[in-house]
Amino acid sequence: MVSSAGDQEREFRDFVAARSTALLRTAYLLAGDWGAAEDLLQVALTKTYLAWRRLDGIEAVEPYARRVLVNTATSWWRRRWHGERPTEVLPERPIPDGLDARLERDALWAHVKELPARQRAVLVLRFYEDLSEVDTAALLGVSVGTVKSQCSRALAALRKRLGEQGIEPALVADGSAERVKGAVR
Amino acid sequence: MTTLEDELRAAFATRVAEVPAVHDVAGAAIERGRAVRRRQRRTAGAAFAVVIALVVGGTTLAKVGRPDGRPDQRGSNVAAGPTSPAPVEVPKLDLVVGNELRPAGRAPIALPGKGDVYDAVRVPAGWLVVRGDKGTRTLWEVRADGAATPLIDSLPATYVFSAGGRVLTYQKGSSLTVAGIVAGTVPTKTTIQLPGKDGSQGRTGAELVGRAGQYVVIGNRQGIDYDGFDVWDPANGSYVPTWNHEVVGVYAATPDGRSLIGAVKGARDGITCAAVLDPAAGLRARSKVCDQPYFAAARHGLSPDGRRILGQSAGAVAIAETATGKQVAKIAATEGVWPAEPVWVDDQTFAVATEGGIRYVDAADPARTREVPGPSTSEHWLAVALVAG
Repeated sequence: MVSSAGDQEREFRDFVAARSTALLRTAYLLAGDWGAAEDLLQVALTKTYLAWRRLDGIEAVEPYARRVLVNTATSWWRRRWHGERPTEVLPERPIPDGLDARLERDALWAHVKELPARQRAVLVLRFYEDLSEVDTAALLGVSVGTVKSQCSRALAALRKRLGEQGIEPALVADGSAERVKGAVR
Repeated sequence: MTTLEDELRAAFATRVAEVPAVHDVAGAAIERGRAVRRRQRRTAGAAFAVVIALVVGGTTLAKVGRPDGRPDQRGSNVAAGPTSPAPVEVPKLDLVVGNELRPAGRAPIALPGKGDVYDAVRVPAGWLVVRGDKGTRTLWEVRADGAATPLIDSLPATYVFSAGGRVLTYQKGSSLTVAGIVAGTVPTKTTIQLPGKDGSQGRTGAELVGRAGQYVVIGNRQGIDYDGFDVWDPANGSYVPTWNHEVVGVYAATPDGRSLIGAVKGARDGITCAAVLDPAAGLRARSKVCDQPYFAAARHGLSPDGRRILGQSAGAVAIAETATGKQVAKIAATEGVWPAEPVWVDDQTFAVATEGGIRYVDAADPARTREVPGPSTSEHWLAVALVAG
């Protein structure tokens, strides 16, 4: 990208206009609330702007911004400073019969938010961004084995916590969001 | 076939189906980026100026040095110049890097336990280290010879050290406990019940906020914010809340220990006043300094001598004096964000992690700083804090 400062700003604005909503969605899933997500996005975009001249082509920009986003979100220091208040005991939620899928997804989301940030990031990259294990590892700067183990631990924790609430993702053939209720692993 | 993985995909998609509008993020990023570049240029310029001053000054010193050959101290001061203050001395700072404690100038000590190290403070007996994961954190006492004793197996996330690390206050559910830490044990405990309850959206009601001198600071949490504050003196035993709804924060005790400093609501929304508060009169404001930006005290923000407190204010690390609560200086982050809370290294100097290293700042003259690379780019690390006595 060889261009003047004005061109670079225009390119940057075009990039933000095209991709900021997608990045904000990922930021939200990483951060857990929209305020923190905007903060994350700002940091990622500022660093992207600063790195614009050395990023080799527009196709390198989004991966860079996404990497900054994820690495900032998983920075333990940052979570502390911004006052993350982890819940010691997961909240008890009575699950009435006939609870709709939305409420159960809310429960799943609540448990996802309680996962350690790096496990949460792996889940978001694998199951929201649909990145492969290899691409997830490259983005996080860890080994594929680490991605596998983090993902496995995260899924196991979610199954356990959902099971404790009497919710279990059903192995049903029709692909709907039905659950087998009351089955505790 | 629906699996947990499918459910995650559906849950993620549901959560981000609607995205709130954000205001000109590109413009904001460009502004912040420009500010960073300006600071970088200033820093580079200052570094160049120092090099020039040293070269020129060195020549000058050789010419005007004392007859005995020693450099002329006035010459040195002139070389340093008021526009390029002498960088602060790098004091001794203990660090935790990955699985080990690295005391300044001493051999590393392997830390006990597993998981992230969330907190580490220096105490007379050695160090107190909080390690584990979100659900199970253990408080360890680590001594200089490497011996480690688990003090509390399930330390909640809401806790605070005070009195030089000799007192631990923590909240578990609605129970608030104040315990002494003596020679690897936690022998004395006072526990009270706080009004309120834990729900799926977090706690509603009384919540431990921190310590201010002899008092435990309690906030009335309602949603994401506090609606009023109160203090409790553990020496008085039982606790009945008497919220002061004008108070928006209580940070520390004044140096004489008789009053507290904090913030109260100002005349307009969004404006707060730093205030000296009377703990014996329901946190009534004795004096105020208004038009102060909101200040969030850092966990270990109180200086060892009790004269200053560090916090976050409008994206900067702010220094407030504990005599009045007034913010007296701010230090902006180079990258526009501070990745960590600051910790005191001695009465005068604090350290704060930057994106790339550690910045030391002279609290009395915040222009005097020095940045050094961090101890690791691959492992989690944190600076060990001092707890005000």
